[in-house]
Amino acid sequence: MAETVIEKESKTKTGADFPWNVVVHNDPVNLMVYVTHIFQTVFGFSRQKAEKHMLEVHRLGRSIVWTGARERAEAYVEQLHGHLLLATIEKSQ
Amino acid sequence: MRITRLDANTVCLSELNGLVTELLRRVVPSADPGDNSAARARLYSAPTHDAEETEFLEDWEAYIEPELSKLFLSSRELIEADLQKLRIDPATGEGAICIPSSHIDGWIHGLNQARIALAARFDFTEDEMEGVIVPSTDGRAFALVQVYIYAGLQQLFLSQLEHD
Repeated sequence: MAETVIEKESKTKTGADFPWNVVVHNDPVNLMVYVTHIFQTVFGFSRQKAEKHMLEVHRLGRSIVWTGARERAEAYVEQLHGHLLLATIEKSQ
Repeated sequence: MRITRLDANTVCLSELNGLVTELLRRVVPSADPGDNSAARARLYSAPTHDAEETEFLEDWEAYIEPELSKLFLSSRELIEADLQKLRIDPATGEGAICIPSSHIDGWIHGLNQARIALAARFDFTEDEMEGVIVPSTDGRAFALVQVYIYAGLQQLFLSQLEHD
């Protein structure tokens, strides 16, 4: 399982401040090397960490690539959609 | 088909055969989803699977999708402008094009748009994408060749970014 970036939040975990996951889903079109490149670009991941998440997407169908505040999670999903990755936001368990 | 650095600010694609030069000219129209609902649905996928997030989904459609549309258009326009510099050697029939290295990201993005829009428009199966099954019609087969060639070009451009 790839390591997930968790943003430390001091706010209470209610409503919009509840921790939110940014999830990237598998699709058969995006190249593995492209997905790795986008993870490095958007999240500043090392090559090794980006590849871990990419392989998790490829093998398991999804990977939680970031967890934290709602507003920032939405911004990451927007960036990922800009790069045409299938990404969604979901409440962290 | 090869990629070389002319200098610090310029990248050249060369030894492009007739098929590849023709496919380069088709990148922009292929990337444009037009009115195709499958291509549009894939390019503008939902940001949540939670059906109760109606307000978020409405806001996304109203404010984010127009921004994404502008972003997608900007890549297509960049490629269209660069393609004006595509030259064909009359002796060999091979094409070559040099672009600013600052345009590499735009090309990678535009090629990705084209691959994704084509795959959605033709609803390619995973077996077709992986070459396990040969497409049943010439149109499907040609579109699949486009997807493969564009993938090769994407990888060439990505390899250049790694050297930066």
